[in-house]
Amino acid sequence: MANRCYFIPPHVLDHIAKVQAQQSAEPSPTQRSAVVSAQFRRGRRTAGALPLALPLTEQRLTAEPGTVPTGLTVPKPGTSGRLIHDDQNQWTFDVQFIRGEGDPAVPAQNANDAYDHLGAVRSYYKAKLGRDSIDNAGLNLVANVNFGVDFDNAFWDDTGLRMVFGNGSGTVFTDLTASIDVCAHELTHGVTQFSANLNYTDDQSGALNESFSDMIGSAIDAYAGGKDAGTHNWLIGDEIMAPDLFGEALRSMAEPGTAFDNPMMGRDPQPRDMSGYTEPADPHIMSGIPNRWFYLICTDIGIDAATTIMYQTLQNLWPNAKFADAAAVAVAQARILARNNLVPRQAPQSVRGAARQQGFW
Amino acid sequence: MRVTLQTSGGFTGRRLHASLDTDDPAHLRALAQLPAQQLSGGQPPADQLAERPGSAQPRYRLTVHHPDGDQVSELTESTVPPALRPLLAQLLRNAHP
Repeated sequence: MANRCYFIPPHVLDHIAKVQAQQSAEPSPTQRSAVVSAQFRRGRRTAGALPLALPLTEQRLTAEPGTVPTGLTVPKPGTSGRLIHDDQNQWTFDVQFIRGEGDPAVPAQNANDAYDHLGAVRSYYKAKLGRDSIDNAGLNLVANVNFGVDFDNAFWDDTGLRMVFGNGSGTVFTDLTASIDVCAHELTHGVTQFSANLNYTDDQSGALNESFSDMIGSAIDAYAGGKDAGTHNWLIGDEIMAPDLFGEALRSMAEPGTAFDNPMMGRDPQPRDMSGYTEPADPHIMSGIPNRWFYLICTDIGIDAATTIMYQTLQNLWPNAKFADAAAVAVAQARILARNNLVPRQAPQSVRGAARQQGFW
Repeated sequence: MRVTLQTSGGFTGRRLHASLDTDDPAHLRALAQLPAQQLSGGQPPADQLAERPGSAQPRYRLTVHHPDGDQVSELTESTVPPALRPLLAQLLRNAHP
């Protein structure tokens, strides 16, 4: 792969993007350039380290099945259609296409759950945030269920642009399609890839990447369950715990560090605020700090308003943004949204106060 | 030969650890094919960490303990070679926090 050279150095693009992020509700061309530039840099690095990775320009933008059984519907590209694949407990992707957009339910409940949850997440993004799928251009939503054997995880495949769900081992997790917050979390990683494209590194950018998925995933979970900030449990992953771990969760947005403590999982390592911040650290650990920032804002101005602010923030951040950058952009977005009566008038103070409480303002 | 595994990433983000002593020729062949990032012990250099490809996928950090130093390889879920699956599955079965 040929190296690409950049006329404007990445750090200059980042700086201009940072200034512009505080002035507009819509990402500027410079902000988009900063994101695209980072994607190409990442693609160039990745090409050497990971043989299967492709630069974004060469990635397929919809995963269309090789063979389509009679009676199944493959949505046209750019229509935000759903495609569900059964990996039949193999360690490969897109093994058998089993349900497309508008097709009737299939015997496998986890495939139907994935289909339904993807639909609910897609609807939330469209109705509440005005976004048309992962890329805001109708990218079809591809999910793989029954991936691997006893696979205790789920993930967004950033090269294949698909969501992948394991069945769980049954000792720690059950099937990871069972909860909408898993699906919403993973789909939001895709949204992040196509917007701020936050670096997934062991620093604050990586923690923000994880946190935005928890924020919007939790908001969608609350919306689907008819909860508000006062009645939502603010737990991530509580619905996929195996029976012996009933009552535990993976992360607590309200009280990071309290989600689990048992011999099977160990003890929740998330710090509550910046007094416990260390670096380098896994993005899943330090994400608790901005997670609680979001929780505090939700309890003050409501989940819908807080989510709108955070979504707009995600559209205006850049790949190496830090917590303080996210706070500055969120306050700027809160002011723009408040001026247009889209969030409560006190939203900027709420965002700022919560960031101060968490120690990054 | 001793092999250790550390997991991270994905939705759960769980950090698990496992070790295994193996002389299985299939395991050794699979390990020999891995892209080596480092020989000798300890953490990879800071610049190498900073250059890590960004991905929220499950990540597997495998360390092969050779007599003359450690070979460290990091793989994401979608890049695990099929030949490595049996060893990885065995390690994951014994993994703990």
